[in-house]
Amino acid sequence: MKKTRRLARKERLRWELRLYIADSSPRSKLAVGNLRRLCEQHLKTQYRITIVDIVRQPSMACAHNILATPTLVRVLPPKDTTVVGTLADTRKVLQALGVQVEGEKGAAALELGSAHIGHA
Amino acid sequence: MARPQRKAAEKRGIAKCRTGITGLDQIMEGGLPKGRPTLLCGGAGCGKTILAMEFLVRGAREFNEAGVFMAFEETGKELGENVASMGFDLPSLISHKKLFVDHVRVERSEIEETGEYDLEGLFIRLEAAIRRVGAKRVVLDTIESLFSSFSNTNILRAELRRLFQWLKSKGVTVVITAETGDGKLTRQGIEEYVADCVILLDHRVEEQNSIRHLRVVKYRGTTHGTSEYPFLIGVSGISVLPLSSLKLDHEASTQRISSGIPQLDAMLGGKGFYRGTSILITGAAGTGKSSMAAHFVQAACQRGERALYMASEQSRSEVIRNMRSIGIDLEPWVEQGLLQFYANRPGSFGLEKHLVTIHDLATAFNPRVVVIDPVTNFLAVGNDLEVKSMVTRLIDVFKSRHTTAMFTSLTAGDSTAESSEVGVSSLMDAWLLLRNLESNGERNRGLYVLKARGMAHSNQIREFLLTDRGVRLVDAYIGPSGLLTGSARIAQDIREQAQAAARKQQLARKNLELKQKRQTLESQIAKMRADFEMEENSVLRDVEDLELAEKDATLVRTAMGRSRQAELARSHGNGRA
Repeated sequence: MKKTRRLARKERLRWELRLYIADSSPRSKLAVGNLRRLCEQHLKTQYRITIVDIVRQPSMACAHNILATPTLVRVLPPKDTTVVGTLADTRKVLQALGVQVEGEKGAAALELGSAHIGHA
Repeated sequence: MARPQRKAAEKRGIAKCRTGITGLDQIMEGGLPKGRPTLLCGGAGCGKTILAMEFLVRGAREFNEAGVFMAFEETGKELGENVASMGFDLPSLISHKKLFVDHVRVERSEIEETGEYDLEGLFIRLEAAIRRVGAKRVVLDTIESLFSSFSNTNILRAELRRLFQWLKSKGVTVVITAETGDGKLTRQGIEEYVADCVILLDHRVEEQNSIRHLRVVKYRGTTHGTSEYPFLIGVSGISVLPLSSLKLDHEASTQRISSGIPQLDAMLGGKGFYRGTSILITGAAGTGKSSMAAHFVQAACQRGERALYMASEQSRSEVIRNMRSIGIDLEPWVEQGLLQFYANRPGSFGLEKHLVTIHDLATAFNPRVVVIDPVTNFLAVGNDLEVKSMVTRLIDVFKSRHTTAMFTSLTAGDSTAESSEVGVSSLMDAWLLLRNLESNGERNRGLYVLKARGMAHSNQIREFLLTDRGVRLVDAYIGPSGLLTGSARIAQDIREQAQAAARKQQLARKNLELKQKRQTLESQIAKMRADFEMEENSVLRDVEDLELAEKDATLVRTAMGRSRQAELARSHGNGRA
């Protein structure tokens, strides 16, 4: 984990995300699609997504205490933040990940800026 | 009529998975439903986790069935520490692949939810864990914590239903723990999904004593005990205590064991008590109950048998010191490990706890002989009914183990002498009564055998002496004014002794007289013989003299004749000559 973080700093990565899915279930597919789109739109190139299939790697479910699928974990920036579900609500996901949409400062501004994101 | 039917039902009935927990399998008539989930519910701190863990540990140790423990509340390390005091070595079981503990951290409010999800992660972890050790038993403790982590209860309920179905398909026996709340069995109502078997644990305080109870609320497809059974968490795990006297199937022994007092054995058909029976000794304070118990214990140790002495009035060293004064030294037996003391004030904890402690000791130490001195002290922690039910259970515990148990019971005074304080005399096989016998301004001890099932026993009252060489029973005298005890008996003793001495003297005198007579007679005979000999001698001498005289006379006559003839010849002519 430490190694990843050091590496990330070097490459100027801001967001390290990990998505745990179960095989190729419809929900998993939905989550992967939602996450990709969300990152493209809001995190530019400063992100990296790792997709972990716990059906193939059950030990990862144990090691990272995964119960529900799909589960999104923000590894970077620390500390770990977790979102479960198909990530249908982009705004909620961004809020949970602590992503500030451009031109906005602070959590209060995010509330006002939601309409702005919609336009973009 | 009912019995064969029930037997058939048991045969056809569902398969059971033995828990190995003392008493529980008996109540559940074999164990938990095999391959099905069982809901174990109860308030906080009533022993759910421990019971669930014991189910796995005993499964691994006694039935060679591996288990998986999914802990939602405690970490594996914490669990290990919590049950280590009961002799459950989790790290060892884990390293031997007999147990797998998966700690599921449930973090409240740290999880955002958006869109649909399932609990596939939990399924996968369970599946991996089951496969890892080849588990036959699974515990989910406490799965309801998931409700604090995930807010979409609809999804959770659906997933739990799916989980239980899935577990059934796996063929594993599952124990699911849940907390009771709001008058319901479980907070989230998961009993709806786990409908096969529900066990309710309860922990309440009565008269400052905490008592745990277990009740099988529901057990589909089988009969089961329905009462509330007390249970305790002891040094070797959980013990549920059914009132098993309903099943009177103890094997009766014909072997006899000594009471340690030869005269008492003589009163009991000459051989003592039957092995594996229960003996009650009642008596007022200071009548020597403990001394009898000490004799009994000593006799057992001398036979090389293990004995357990439960003292609730005296400490171990006090018992040893006090018994030394009557010449019974118990210390060497303690050192040899044949004798174990368990000294505890009854008030220190509840009846059930005592019961379980005694039960645990009986199992761990396996004594052949047990003394409970006195059983009446338990009245301090329970009412008559409770104490009676406890004593009944104790008797069952001992009888089923073929342990001979001696209970002493303190009676308030001689007025109630023939009723034991806790009303347990009817349960006992032998009943000895020690009584104070008052007469001539002194107090003496008397012993009666009130009852001794299955043997001819003496109906005599014996006086009971505490000497520096132990208890001694002496025959009591029945005098003109009743029973003679104490100094009256001693006076009688002395009188008898004097009479005996007098008789002895008389006899000696007679013997002497006879001897003297014989001597006199013999000396007379000797004298007469001597006289006779003297007479005989003189007569013989006379005869000799006479014979000599006769001879002389003949000689003289011959000589005279010869001379006369010669003269004649000379005078009448010499012609003839």
